[in-house]
Amino acid sequence: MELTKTAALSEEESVQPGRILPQKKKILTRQNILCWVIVSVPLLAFFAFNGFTIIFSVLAMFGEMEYNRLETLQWNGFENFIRIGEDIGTIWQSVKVTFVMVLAQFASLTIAIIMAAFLSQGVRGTRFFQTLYFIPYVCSSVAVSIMWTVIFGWNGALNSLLGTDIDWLNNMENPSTLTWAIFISVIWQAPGYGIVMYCSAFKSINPALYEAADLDGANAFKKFWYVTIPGISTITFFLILAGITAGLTTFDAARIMAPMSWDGYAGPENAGLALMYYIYIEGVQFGNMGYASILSWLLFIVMMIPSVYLIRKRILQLEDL
Amino acid sequence: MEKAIRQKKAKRNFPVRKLVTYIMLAFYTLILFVPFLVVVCTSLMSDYEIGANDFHLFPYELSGEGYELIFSFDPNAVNGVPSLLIGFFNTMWQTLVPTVVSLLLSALVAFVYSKFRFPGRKIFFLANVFTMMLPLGAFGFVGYLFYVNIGWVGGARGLLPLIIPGLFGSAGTIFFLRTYYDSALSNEVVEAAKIDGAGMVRLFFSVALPLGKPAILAQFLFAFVGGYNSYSAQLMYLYNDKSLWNLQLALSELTGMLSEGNGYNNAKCAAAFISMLPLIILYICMQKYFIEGINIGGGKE
Repeated sequence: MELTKTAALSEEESVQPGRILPQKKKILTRQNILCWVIVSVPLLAFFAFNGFTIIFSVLAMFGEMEYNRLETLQWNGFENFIRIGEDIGTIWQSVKVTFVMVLAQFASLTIAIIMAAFLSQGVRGTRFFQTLYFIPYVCSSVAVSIMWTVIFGWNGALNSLLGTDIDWLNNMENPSTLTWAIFISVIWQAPGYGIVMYCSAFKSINPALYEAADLDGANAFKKFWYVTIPGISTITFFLILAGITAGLTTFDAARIMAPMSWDGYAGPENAGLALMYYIYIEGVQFGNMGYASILSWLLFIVMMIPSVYLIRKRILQLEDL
Repeated sequence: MEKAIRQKKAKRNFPVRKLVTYIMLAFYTLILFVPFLVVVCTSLMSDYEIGANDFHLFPYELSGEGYELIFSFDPNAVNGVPSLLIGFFNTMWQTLVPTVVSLLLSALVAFVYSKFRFPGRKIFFLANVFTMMLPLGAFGFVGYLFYVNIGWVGGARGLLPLIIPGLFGSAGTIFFLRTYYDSALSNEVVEAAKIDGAGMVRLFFSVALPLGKPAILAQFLFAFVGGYNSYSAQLMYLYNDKSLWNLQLALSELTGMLSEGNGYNNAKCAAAFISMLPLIILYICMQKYFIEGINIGGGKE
């Protein structure tokens, strides 16, 4: 008796007990209206704040403004777009730097898988190490970048370790050392989140699969390759997308670590000019919002590619929600 | 059963496998903590000792010069209050207000999606997922154009774009909490309360909030860490008013100023270390909830 009652209640669209004839459902009930109001608040706010930003940025692409005031907007046709052609060297440099930042996210992911695999060996103190490895994640990228600035500076720790006398962040002979210094500061900080996620993913893999592999005589590497890797594919997929997004929008580290330079905006030969930093310099510092909008749209389109993939996957999952 | 097999295996492979694991774990610990150590030690040296061009990790002589510099001779101080201190208090309220309001609203929305059937529910939720996936991070700096034109930039008005848009819940949090409510809060409990005549708002405060506590706390912690470490938006909107700077902006401006004269590495390290410390302490006290928070999300992804 008890059982049938709960079963009936959990059936969502089922006939309420006590109501014999199914009646026509009213749509405009008080509860429905309340539900609509509540769920539309975040959506409306989202469209209000982001919709206008997007509309304004489209307008700005085709014109010129004084102090970013829209009422001073003068249409200038495709002049902002023509500037891209003239500026292609700087853009290409910032694309290269941004690519290295995405690479840093992939490297962090690899480190996360490897360290989580070691943490899943079941040795003593696993929990302790897992806790330690997460600490860089809660540190701000500003403070972490300052930390690496001190280490890479000409009187810093790296030079004394290598016995060299180079300012790694402002290295005229080989400017790309700045890019790789930012790379290192990212991979120092980023893996923590992935490590913890992978640890929980490893735990959720069905142990029977490992037993089966044992019976087939698989060695540790084969088990990792054929059982573990497929078992963590969903989380890997999610972390790759999050990593691509984070890499493409790298800003804090570039802004802090790239020094002012006489031949560029961000470090020697713009070696620290991540695309987001370039957008900041053009749009906010120089007030060329039209040009910055174009760069933002380019970045947005690149970022949309993995997102569309994720949206499609999510919508497929939603069928059963 | 599985445990027994693993234990047997572990015993057979005991020395090599365990040793390699420990070496790797220790090696990675070292990679993470040597930079920290360098910063802490440098912050305790005098400028003279750092400038002597012989690098050494541990200071010959402990000196509080760096800390004194950032607190007593801060060039960005407002009315004698050092900018890092102002920044810390600004960070607290600028982060806590939107985080708490937004989280409560997100939890309510997630609860409604999870436990109420209303026409168009699926379409609303799809729209929510859609907004969550849009990579609007690319427009971070272009947003400035919009807020300048509606007069939300300049002086204290620069706080508006930082706080107001964040009050109305976040799509990601709604998605996360809805998944949590779907699995952790049984329909029967809610249905029973509904039959008892509890309204939606009462249900939310008496059932959904208490039962959703672990997930909500996890979301709070991550939102708080994100807000504490936020930098680019404050750089854009609050740059002109030192009394409104948050901690990260104060930190970056202070160290930027110190970098102009080559030196003061001790002060830079002291500032960076002091700014990281509150969150590290918070994390160490609450690490269980941080890790659990990731695990709750991780299982569902």
